[in-house]
Amino acid sequence: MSSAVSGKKLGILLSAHPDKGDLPAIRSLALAARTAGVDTYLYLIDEGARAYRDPLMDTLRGAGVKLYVCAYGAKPRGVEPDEGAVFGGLAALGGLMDACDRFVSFN
Amino acid sequence: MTSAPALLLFIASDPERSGATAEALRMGMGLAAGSRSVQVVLSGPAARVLTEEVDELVDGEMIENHLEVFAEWDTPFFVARQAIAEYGIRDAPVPVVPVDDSEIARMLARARNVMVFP
Repeated sequence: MSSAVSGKKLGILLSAHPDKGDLPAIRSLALAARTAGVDTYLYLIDEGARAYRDPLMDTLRGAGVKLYVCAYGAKPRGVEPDEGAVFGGLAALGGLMDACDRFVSFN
Repeated sequence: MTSAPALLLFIASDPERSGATAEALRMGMGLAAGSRSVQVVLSGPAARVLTEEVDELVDGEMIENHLEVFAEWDTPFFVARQAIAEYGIRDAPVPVVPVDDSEIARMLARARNVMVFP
């Protein structure tokens, strides 16, 4: 589908624990963006790295959302790197922020 | 007036209760490491990181280390005037610029990206 925002880039960051309740909003935002043809990136960091185990990640990945996980935050929370996401550091986050037209954070 | 930053971190979380403040500072430090301009605004209990009680805070040692780096970079911290008074901020390890709510609002509006740690 083509829209006025098609081809734009949206970055979403989650640093809060998934239990805080941000995942439904992230789901809605990310899927709406993908439907509008927006390149969408989700970066999980700090307590937000725990969300990598949530089934929502499969949904987002299936919709074309590109997942990033902070390796520094993942390791102490028992989240092991796999091929479902890019496990990187703050340099990746910085590059993402610079590249995105809009960046929304849930902290 | 300072130039518009690539990222403004607005930190209001209580470092006595959670590690979010320390994590916000870690992110700020990491993201400022390149040519990216980062501004740090402390409001409410987050200003405790600039007091002598930093050792008693969650991830206090990490906070101290981050503040040392910001001090080496001569990075000013913009701190709400009310928090400066409430927590008795003086002789902070980083340069402190007191700001009122209207100045914080203008800074938030001008920044390209904003991360809020409530």
